[in-house]
Amino acid sequence: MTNADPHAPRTVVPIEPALLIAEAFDQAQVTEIRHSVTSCAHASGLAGQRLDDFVLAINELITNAVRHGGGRGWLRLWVEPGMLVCEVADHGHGISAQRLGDRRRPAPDTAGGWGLWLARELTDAMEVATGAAGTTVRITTALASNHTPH
Amino acid sequence: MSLTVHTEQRGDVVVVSVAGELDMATAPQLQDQITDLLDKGRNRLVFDLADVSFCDSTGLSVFVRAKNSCDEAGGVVRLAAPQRGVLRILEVSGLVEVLHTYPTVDQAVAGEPSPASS
Repeated sequence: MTNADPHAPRTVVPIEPALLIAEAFDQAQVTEIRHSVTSCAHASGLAGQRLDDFVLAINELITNAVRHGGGRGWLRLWVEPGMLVCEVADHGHGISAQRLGDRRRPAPDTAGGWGLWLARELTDAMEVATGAAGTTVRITTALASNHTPH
Repeated sequence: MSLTVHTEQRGDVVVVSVAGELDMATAPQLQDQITDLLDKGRNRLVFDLADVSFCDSTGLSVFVRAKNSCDEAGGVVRLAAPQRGVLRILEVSGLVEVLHTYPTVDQAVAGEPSPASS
């Protein structure tokens, strides 16, 4: 943007998405990075249950990266028009096609397997790119106040 | 981050009061306390969640494992007084009834027949 024309309309649609967080994390930073995500998502206009849901979903991805993805990961959070997007990447061995294809809710007596299921359930969209070199999960939540989830 | 866990015998149950955020950093602490209680033969547990401000799948796993162990030993696990966010993860995962969730500690201790979810 330039200041060349002082009479230009002040409402500008941003072309570059606004990056809010770009951080590496390991086990020791899980709680701290969740708090940062909460603050940034709230400042971006997410509130109430939709804020709680998005933060929990991101927490699950961070936890998966630390527990199954080689012990550390990378998180990016940014705003696109009308939505908040978060990407969590790790350098683990990837998620099997069988595991990824199974979208059923875990049985109530199982202590594991809830993380990815919850992340998908609690967000508006989830994309997973996984392979032997690692996993990248991108989740999205709408920011519009009149949006009804699912 | 810290979690505090306090236990108190009330009638035939042990009330386990948990305060703080339950995530992968703190869940092992709660797990240790539960293992300790089970080792002492305590298998009727009520978890007071009034001061738990956050619970993720790691926390959920601790409660599911506790329920499985207590069931096996002929005991019971009940949850009490979850805040909005904690109730949310229990609802989404379909565990409100499975984990016998009550609105108050007193109701959970009494173990009234129809647990309420809100």
